[in-house]
Amino acid sequence: MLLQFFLLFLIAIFAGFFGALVGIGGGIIIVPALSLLFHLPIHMAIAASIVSVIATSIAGALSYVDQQITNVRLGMFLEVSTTFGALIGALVGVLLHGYVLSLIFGGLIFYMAIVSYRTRNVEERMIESGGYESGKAGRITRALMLEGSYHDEALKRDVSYRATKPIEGSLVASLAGVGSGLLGIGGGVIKVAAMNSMMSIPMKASVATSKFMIGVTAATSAVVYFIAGGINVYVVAPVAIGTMLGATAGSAVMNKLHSKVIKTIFFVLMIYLGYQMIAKGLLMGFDVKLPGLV
Amino acid sequence: MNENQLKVETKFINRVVAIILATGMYATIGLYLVGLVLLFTKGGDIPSLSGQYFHSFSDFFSALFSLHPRAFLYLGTVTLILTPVSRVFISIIAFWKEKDFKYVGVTAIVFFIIMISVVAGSVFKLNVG
Repeated sequence: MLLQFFLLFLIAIFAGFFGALVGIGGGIIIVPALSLLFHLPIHMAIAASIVSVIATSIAGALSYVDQQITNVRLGMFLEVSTTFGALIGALVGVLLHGYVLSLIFGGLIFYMAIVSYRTRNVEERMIESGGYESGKAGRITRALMLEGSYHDEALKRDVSYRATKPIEGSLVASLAGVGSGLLGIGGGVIKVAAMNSMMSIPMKASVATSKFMIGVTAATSAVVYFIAGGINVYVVAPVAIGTMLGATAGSAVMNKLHSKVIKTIFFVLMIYLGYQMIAKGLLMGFDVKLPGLV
Repeated sequence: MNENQLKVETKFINRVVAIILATGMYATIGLYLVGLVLLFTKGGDIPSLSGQYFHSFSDFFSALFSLHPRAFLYLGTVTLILTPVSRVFISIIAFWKEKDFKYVGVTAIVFFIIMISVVAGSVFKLNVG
């Protein structure tokens, strides 16, 4: 039993570290690890993963708020859409076929992966030329002060930015909520893409703000799982401690990396996730089994 | 609100958020570590999922005072889950203190949606994300 706990702990450290670098909860690592390595039933793995996502979000957010990379105001603003999306997702989930949603989300994630990859070299040039500051501020951006700055340790300079397209960004962010309500995906990937690709928030500020937001979305569903009695606290404890340690380490490293590196890791992750969603959709809807489906 | 006020407010809000997150994190780690140490020193089997829950407060307190690991692991999990929710709730108060009523509104909406989700989720056994 001690060995199992130790293994669980190690995987959790890895998931926490990796999740902090790209602003995701790490459920896409934890869920398959629990169900494949420890043979936990999938719903129990998802419940345990959701609690560990809260843990990694708290640890990562704490570090990023300390480093002043997180934009708390932007996070609060987008949480309106993600929590609302999650509620809608849960309410309409029973009416829609899971495979249709899986296919739609798979397609959306592929699209955003490509956008993110194509801008990987542009990001730092845009910072150099002040492109993130000169975004056209609409009424909402001005009224809600959706702007900020952080110190980029890789570029050794302060980076200021101003959000563009808050409405479009909110709509995409609400899809992150719908996705987590329906399909059990954490939604960090979509949050980061919404901020970086749609709202022209620099990658690092998007990662830190996404990390900050994830805890709220995950806590909402964790409460429900907890009340329903689906959380195994013996599994959750080592995983949560591990992801907290990993996230603390990962968030200490992130700001030292160039955004091109972060974006490349993010791209690989999105392609993997998009493929999984589409494979899942094809299996559920058309009984077509693609290789490598977890 | 001018540039300077905004900076002061941002600093204040960030500090409030950091304090809540840090408190939640260290309390959770502490409770979990006590639970795990008790589990490995006292031994005993891991109860089934339904056996991990408590049926009443007295059930919980008797497990806590007899140093049963499940009481500490359970309490750690409750602390963990409540940390982000308290972060939202306390931010409402923090924005209020700063007289930033737009964000009092934004944060209150978030808190309200969380409460609806929790109630709807528990009543209809929905998978609220």
